[in-house]
Amino acid sequence: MSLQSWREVDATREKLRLLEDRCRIIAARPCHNEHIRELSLRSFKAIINQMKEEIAIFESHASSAPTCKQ
Amino acid sequence: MHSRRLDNHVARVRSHGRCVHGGTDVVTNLQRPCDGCNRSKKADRLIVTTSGFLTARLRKIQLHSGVRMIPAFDERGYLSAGVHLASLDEVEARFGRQSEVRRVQMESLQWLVKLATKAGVQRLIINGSFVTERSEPNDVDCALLTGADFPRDKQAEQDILDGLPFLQIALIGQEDFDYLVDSVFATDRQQITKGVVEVIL
Repeated sequence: MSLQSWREVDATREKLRLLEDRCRIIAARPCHNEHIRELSLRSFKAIINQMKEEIAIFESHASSAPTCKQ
Repeated sequence: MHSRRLDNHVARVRSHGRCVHGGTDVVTNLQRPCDGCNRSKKADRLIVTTSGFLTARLRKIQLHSGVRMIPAFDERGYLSAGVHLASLDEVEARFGRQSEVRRVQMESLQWLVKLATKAGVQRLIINGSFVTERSEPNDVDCALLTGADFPRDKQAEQDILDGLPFLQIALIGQEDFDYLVDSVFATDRQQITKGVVEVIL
């Protein structure tokens, strides 16, 4: 999935922030199943990385394109 | 019997204005053929707006009563907001045959369902462009809720973690599963609400 506009970038950043907050909560909370916690953290981090890649790709294209920020 | 239980549940939802299980589901009417006599019958469809609402029991009731349906796409090509229950066959008929890309994505999904069942996954939600109107989706985002005895089969778990073509798989516990489905999957990149599909395992 590729981002198409700055509006989508902003929305993705907001989801990114929520997911990063969630990761901190998962890491800090008491846990009775360490294995499941690891799986959850791994899954959330994978989604976070995917979002960061999409934002970076969009920003990279936007900075090289001769268009104005919407 | 199952149908009667579901009717009772729907009646309670209506009288209380919300689901007695704590969700915020919306009840709508539609016509469907009665399973018993095949005549058209007024039935109720539950649109679930919080993933925690549907208990395993109610999902079974919906499965056996046939009171479920993947809704039509809206004007943006999305499903209406909520979690829409469907069997794997229903998912294939609706999303898995319309293009070559969709066919191979569907094959991956079928493998995932087999592995998930073996591994002891309790619920499987499909998100991403696969459950939209796009003829050639980019990806199939899947959220898998680990069951109490997960992993029932270590090899199946490892196969899921190794990944499958086209699938972005999140394997997570209950609390985080609800969060992911309700907070991240519920909207698109422009924060427009959309629906997801739950495959009945």
